Amino acid sequence: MNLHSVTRSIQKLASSVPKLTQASVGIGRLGRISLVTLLVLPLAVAFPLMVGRFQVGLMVKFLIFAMFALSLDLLWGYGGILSLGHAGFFGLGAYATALVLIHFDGPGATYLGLLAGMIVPALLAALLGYFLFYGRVGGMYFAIITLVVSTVLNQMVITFIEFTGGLNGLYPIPPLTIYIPGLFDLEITGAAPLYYSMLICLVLFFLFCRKTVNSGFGRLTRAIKDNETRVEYFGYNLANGKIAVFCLSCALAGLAGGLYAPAIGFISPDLLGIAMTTEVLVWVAVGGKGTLTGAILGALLVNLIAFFLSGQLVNLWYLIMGMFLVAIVIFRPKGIMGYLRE
Amino acid sequence: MGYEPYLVQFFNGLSIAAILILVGYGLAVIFGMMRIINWAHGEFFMLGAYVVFVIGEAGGSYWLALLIAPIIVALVGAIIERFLVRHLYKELLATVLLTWGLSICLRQLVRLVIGPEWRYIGNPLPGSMTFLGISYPLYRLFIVVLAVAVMGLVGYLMLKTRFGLYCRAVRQNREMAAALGVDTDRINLLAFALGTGLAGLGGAVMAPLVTIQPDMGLSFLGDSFLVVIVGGAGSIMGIVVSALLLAGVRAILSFSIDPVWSYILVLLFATVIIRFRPQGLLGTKREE
Repeated sequence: MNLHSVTRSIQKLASSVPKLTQASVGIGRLGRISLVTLLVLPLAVAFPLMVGRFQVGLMVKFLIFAMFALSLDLLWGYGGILSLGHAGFFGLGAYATALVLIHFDGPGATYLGLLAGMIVPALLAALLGYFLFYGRVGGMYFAIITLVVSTVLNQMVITFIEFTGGLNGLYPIPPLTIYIPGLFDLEITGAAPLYYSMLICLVLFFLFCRKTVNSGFGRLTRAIKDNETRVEYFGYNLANGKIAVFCLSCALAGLAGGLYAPAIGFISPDLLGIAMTTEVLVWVAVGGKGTLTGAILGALLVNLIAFFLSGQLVNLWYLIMGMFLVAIVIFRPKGIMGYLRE
Repeated sequence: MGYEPYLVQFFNGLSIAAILILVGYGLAVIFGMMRIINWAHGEFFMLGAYVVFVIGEAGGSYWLALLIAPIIVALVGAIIERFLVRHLYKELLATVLLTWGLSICLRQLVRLVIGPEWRYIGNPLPGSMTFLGISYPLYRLFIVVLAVAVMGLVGYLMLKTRFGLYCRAVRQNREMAAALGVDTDRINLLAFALGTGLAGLGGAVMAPLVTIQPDMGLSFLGDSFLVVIVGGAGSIMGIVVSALLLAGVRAILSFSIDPVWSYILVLLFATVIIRFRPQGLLGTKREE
């Protein structure tokens, strides 16, 4: 036997091992994702059949929170821009939609309301972004200003009682209606119909976000996150890129808020508060920022745990939330999805 | 009648400014040294007030508590720096989240351990002094004197001692300071303890004047941010001037308009400052 040929075949075999493992990992990942979809989707569809009305109503809220988390993930996970006032935009959208629905009672009010819920926060974001990003205000200063803005919004909602109901909030808010001229004018009420429509909305939200992050614009936002200077050297307008992703994220947060108002039927200044901002940060951080699926997973998981724990232990739960945040930042900065992917 | 109410308001503003200087400078030291914003700063302020309350409950005197509170709070700060913050110096946004989470933890811990009730402690220095035609509470005058003394001490520490020299060296150029043999980790630890200790002292001093409750730090955090933003993290003078300015504007506005609106106006003003002078009103170089 020729020793040379043996060593060569062994070398060949050895060099093909990494390729083999790579291939299997690739298949494994693909398989895992499709497996997850196969498992999760039927479960999500069958959910209202398996549990009581109360739980379905609760899940409606969590699905909307998942959309809110997606909007933050776009800004924070992909754009690398930390906002400590994201709840301000969510709440602003909720109030804009609610006010339109309450004061304008006609066919298509839902569309008008949701449009207002998107446009009002987006305009505020555009104004802020233009003001700040062109002034090269970023990082921590931006975080402080967003916090300030959401605090101001919160105070305004509490102060303008005749519009917003002050601390008592707004109630009742007319339900969502699907209106097609000449065809039908359908009110979405009841737990299960709301659940399915929010599920569809969440899937659409997710698909839209995924398309966005995989587009040229999405690559630009990731580039901004990685290296701002280099983005500028390549001739991109850095400020415009940041403004665009900030606007988009705030419009989506506002839309989620806009869905929240009629779907839940009650809104209060808490929606714009610091606690809400903290929660959405925790959801995204737990799930894993910059993954989209992580945002959804985090929102649902944390809220479910919160629901089971907070009944008896309100203060303790909030403490656990803070410890979660600290622990994730220190030990698992990539969250659950980041951990799974590794 | 005439000028007296304004004079009283002026001195009220001065005593609030004195506390803002303590707390704001604490925030500025930490920010200046480590480039991190301590979102839990308001909670160290709150801890200071609670230490005073607990010692009072145990029968200790207020003056003893005033001495102990900053030390205990500085110790808590040092522990947090050593075991948590230290790992994240390189990641600014991570420290924001970390200190944000810590602030929640501290608030809830106090709420669970001591209780969510509103607490009050008596005025340790009752009586008032009559001057310039007004009669003014002694305790508030004491605050002003104390703040001047403490800031003088801190100024001495920063400008005349070896520790201060190292601090300023690390602030200007961390790598170079390390290369010259400065133990930057140690300096960070001490600076963090100093900053949180000052916040604790502010809380301890403020305790007899306000309701003590777990969320009391939040409003003070906002104010100390404003002080640092307007004054810049660089100089003691900047902090002093901006604290006086802020407290003065508050005092003037409180005469004419709703507190909510004065709050909103001041915040908007700070936003404009951040936009056009991120280094602060008196600062000379960009901070970021």
